[in-house]
Amino acid sequence: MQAIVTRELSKSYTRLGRPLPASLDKLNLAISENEVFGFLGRNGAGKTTSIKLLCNLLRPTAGQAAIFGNDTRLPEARRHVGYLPENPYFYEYLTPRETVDFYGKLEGLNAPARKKEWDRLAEMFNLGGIQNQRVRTFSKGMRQRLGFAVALVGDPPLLILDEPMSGLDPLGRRLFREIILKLRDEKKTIFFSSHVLSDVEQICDRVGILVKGRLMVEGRLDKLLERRVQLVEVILRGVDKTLEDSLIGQCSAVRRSEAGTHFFVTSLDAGNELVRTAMQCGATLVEFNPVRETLEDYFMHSQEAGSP
Amino acid sequence: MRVFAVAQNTFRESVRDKVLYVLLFFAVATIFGSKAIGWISIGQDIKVMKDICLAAVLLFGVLIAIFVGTTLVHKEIDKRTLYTILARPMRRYEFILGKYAGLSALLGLVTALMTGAAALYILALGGSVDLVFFQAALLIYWELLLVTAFAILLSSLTSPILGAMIVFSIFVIGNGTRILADLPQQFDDITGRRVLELLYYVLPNFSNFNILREAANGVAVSGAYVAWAMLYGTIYAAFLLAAASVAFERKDV
Amino acid sequence: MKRFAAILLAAAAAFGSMAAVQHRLDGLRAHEPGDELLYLPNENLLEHFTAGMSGVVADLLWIRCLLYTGEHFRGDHDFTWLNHMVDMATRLDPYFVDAHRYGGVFLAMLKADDDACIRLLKRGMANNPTSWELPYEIAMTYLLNRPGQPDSPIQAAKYLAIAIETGNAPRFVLELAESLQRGHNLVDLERDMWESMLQSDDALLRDMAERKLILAELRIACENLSKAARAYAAEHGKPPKTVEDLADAGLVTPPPFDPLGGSFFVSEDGRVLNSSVLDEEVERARGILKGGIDAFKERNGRWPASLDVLDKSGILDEIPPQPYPERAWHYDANDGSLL
Repeated sequence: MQAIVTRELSKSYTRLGRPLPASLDKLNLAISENEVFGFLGRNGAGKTTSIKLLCNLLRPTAGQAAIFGNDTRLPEARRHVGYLPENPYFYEYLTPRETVDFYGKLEGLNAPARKKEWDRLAEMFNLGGIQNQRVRTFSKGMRQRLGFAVALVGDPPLLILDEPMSGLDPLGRRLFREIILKLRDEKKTIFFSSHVLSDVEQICDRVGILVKGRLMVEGRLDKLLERRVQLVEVILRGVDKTLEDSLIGQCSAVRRSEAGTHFFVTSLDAGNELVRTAMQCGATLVEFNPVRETLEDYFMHSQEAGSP
Repeated sequence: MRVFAVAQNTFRESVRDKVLYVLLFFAVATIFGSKAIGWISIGQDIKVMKDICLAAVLLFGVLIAIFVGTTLVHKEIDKRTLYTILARPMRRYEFILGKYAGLSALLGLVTALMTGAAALYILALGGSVDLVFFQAALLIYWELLLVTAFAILLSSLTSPILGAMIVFSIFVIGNGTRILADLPQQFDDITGRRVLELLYYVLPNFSNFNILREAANGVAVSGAYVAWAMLYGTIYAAFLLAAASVAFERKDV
Repeated sequence: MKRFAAILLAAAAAFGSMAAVQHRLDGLRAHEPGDELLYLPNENLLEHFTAGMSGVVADLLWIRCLLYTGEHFRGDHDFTWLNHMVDMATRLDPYFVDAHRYGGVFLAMLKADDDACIRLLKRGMANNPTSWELPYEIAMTYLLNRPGQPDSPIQAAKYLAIAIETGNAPRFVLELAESLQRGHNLVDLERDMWESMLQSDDALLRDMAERKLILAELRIACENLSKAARAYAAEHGKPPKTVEDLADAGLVTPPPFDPLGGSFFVSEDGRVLNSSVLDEEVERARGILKGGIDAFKERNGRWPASLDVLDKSGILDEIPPQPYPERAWHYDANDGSLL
């Protein structure tokens, strides 16, 4: 069963009767169970709109979406979802403990269950020290932690997180990354949006890139990047001039440094070929570096592709 | 259970609202100051005090209902505290009902406190407080419940300031709808009369809840009247809450 | 489409049932008849738009009315606005028995406007059937303001009976009813009324009562002095010039004293009169005449040419004479003023 399925999901607004360009245009997405899916896009690309549509905070102008087979417009769909909005806000005068208790009640948990949830989440997110402080006094990072904890109340199988790492310091980011990976190990599905590419690179199985309301790219991260190996850098030692001259033909560039001779070829196969030849001639392989396009480069490409 | 959780939360949140305490302060000041005005009437100080105290409960109750009520839903949308709640398997109307229940509880507490303070004060000054005084307070509370229903409806539709102005206008007009019942006799035109009659039944008639003069003068009011008035208020409020739920159901937040 | 129909249905059900409930409520509640709206738009509009606090507004108006009355009572005795104020206050709070009661008393006693008084008290009775005060005051008005009319004792008896029937009337009302049956002494009646008002908590009412009682005493003194004057005339062949003559002749001891600051004097025809008493009668008569003049103005749009016109046009039954023997009314037809 797919965790999330959207079919031609669209949202557009009108101003004074005239339609504005679509905030989300025919989104077709399928998220499998136990995946970590990263949803990328610039600010205003439609990431938050998509997420709000999934959570029924907005109504679609066209198309449908389903969560674990339930239409998102029905409350059933949200039973299995834990949602963390961007910049989460909670009732200022409550303490984290009271907040978690409140959401526990909304989930229909009885008092002992709520206490257990609190203990579990307080430990996970280090809330024990601030459990009696009012939310009003919290910093951004603390709110974010509380928000994630709230999303996990009731142990939902699907987590939808909107920019979960925003505003966190490196320690906080690390904590969240670890938690997400742990959740994956617990067989949960995680769908999150971000514009911080390094976070996505480190934890996602699949990504989707949204450009101006349209899904331009979607697929497994490593496969996407693999396709675009730009260069392979082969560093060899003990290459004499004759060898170098014979190899130059296959390369796009050659360079010398203290480490050795750097040969730049355009594919992995060419690189392998180069190494075999060189080693047969007595050279030593120091490094074999496929220079993959980073996600950032990939991201930039897709933006250009999406622009007119 | 979910409705109750929202209600409980709303109650706690509104109890912390500073506006509430400012208004309560003025209400209590008015109650204790009523003696001063009563003093200069000829031997009617108790009557005057009862008039002023009940009027204070009504007026400040309405102000609280309007100010807290119109910001209630809107503040949640604005501050996005709403998002995490609605993303739960909660129906939108449950949220509206929870908000309403919380605010109703708050108003009940406030009304009871003010009425109690007024009654004790009057007793302490040698006056008597009879059943009709408490009946008047009960109907004031019911009136507040209806005003709150209006406030919640407006809160789901528009900004707090506009909403507050509209609800306040409805309150003032609603106290004068009896004119619409009296005017038709002066009209010869049948359609004109029908229109006025229709308006009379459609617009909220707040004077139904007003037995303040009877209370101040110690005139008895039948239990049947109180019950019918409460029924009127309940039907109207239920309709408004249903409308608010429908309005909120499809709203993009 | 289905949604719209559902909403419409819900609205119809809600408002249909509310109309039925409203109808029921209207039946349960007494309400001023609508035609009053034509005559007194101000009061009704005020009631409708004081947003449920008409009781407080009535109280404030009543207090204002008391201050107004007190001020003019100690001053120029011009109570032009009294009717309007009392009317407004009692319409805004129809259950305000004391406002009806004392408002009526002021109208009858200070303005000699017993018609307005009785109208007001009757309106009050309709809204307050359990009040003994209001029918009692109607009875007193008949007895004290309309003593000459043939049906006054009957009406008074009728209203006293109503007062007694409420079951709340204090003993003196019963006693009064009994003494009425036996035949009555107006002077005593009046004195009893003022004496009970002397017990009031309010300074204004006490002052009024005190003054009225003193005037009653002065009237009695005048009678006695007049008797003495006749005795003097019989003895000396001519009436005394001043009251001191009577004292010198030993016919009155001690010499009379007027606590209100007026003086006793002997009129041309040998009666002893007191200026305070006469002043009060002047006020009363003046009130009646002024009322007639204003009524004429309202009816015909101009001031009457002379006071006789009031009699002829039937506005007043008779022109009350100037109480002072040598004085006459000075009426200015240009501005309706009366001295």
